[in-house]
Amino acid sequence: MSNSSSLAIETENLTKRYGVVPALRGVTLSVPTGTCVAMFGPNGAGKTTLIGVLSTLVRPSGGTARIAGYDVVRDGVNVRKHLGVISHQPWVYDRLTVHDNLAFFARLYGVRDRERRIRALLEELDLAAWSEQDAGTLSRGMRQRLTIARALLPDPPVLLLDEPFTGLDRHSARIFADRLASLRKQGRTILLVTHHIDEGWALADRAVVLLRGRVAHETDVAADAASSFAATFDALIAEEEV
Amino acid sequence: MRVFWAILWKDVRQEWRRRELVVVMAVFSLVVLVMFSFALGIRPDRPTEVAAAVMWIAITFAGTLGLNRSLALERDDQCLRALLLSPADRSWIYLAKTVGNLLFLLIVEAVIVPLTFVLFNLDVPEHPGWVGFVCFLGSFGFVSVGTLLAGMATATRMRDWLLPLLLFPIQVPVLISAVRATALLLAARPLEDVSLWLALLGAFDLVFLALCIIAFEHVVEE
Repeated sequence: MSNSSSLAIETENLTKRYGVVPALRGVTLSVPTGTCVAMFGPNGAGKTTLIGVLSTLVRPSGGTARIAGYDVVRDGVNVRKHLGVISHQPWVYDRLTVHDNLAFFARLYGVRDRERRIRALLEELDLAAWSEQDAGTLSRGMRQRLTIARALLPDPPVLLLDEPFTGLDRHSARIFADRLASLRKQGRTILLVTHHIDEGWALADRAVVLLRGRVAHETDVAADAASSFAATFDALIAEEEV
Repeated sequence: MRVFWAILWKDVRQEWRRRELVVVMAVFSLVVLVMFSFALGIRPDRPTEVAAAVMWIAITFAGTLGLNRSLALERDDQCLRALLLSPADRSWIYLAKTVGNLLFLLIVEAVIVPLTFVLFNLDVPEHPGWVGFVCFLGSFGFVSVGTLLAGMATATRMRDWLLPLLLFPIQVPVLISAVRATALLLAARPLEDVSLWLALLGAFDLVFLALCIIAFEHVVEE
């Protein structure tokens, strides 16, 4: 198994069933290293399941998925070494302070020069003033910023973002969007799942529509316009509903 | 190992700040112990057997409360997923949660065990260290299976009653061995009489631990 692949994220005919209910029905997707793909789709399209499979939290029923060349089923530890995952749920401990949360996850992920890294992220995400406050007492937007700091702690080369803008106010959303743009410039690979076409379009190189567990449409952002993509997206959803 | 120490540190720190788990477990076990001691009274015919059985009932009930709460905290904050994303073998997560739960249960036992001697009017045992060792082995068997089953149960809506329903039948061999060994030690019987039960406890602990390490990854994956 190698990590020298030019594709940071790669799936082939990926399927997942929960009992008899199919969540993914043969997803084939390639995300080249250093690019950003925005994935759009209505509720129940399978976006979160796809993120779950790619992050080794959900076992696929069939097909293959690789992160940085490592198979998600056979080589989970190496996959997780390359990943940062941000969900719309915070995944932080309400009963620990902001600093203790980050210190814990830094230990867990084996981050070197822990305190310096934590301080830098707290400053960058405008959380330094709240570092000794319990995470449970923070506003939704601040908790989401803490979640972002948690995911960025190990400086992962691949980021999986599942509705990361949910709950963020304009200030927090701008800080996060700027941070994502700078991560892109540094060559990180990003798979961004979102409902908001404008936000995704602004960051992405490619846009993908997932419908009922299948890739229904793909386009290069440079070769298309957000308005025309939005029209195609709406038409695809209307077609599905019929 | 890094993951193991990180999770253990976090669990201890969280509990130190809140003192929620240990206090609730201790109070609950004290209530059980006092209720049984009043209900049964002092039994001159079989004092050590009754005391050992009641002590382990209190430990089991308190332990079940603690196990449910410990894993529920991970689920409530949705943090189990963040733990599972750590780049390490997931067995370390299971081992850390197990050792954390064991630590909290042993702290509660430090209160329950002496109180059992008082409430049942027993002499301090001839081999207190061995009583402690039996408590350790019995508790280890209990939390090793309990941590795995609590991980399963907390993922369901039926978690409050599912854990004891699954855990108690599986725990029967550990509990019988622990009660018998404790009763013999409280009765000041020679250590040779206790050795069979100790060996059984050790064997159950090892088998349960091995099976739970293997099963954990499958239990937590969706």
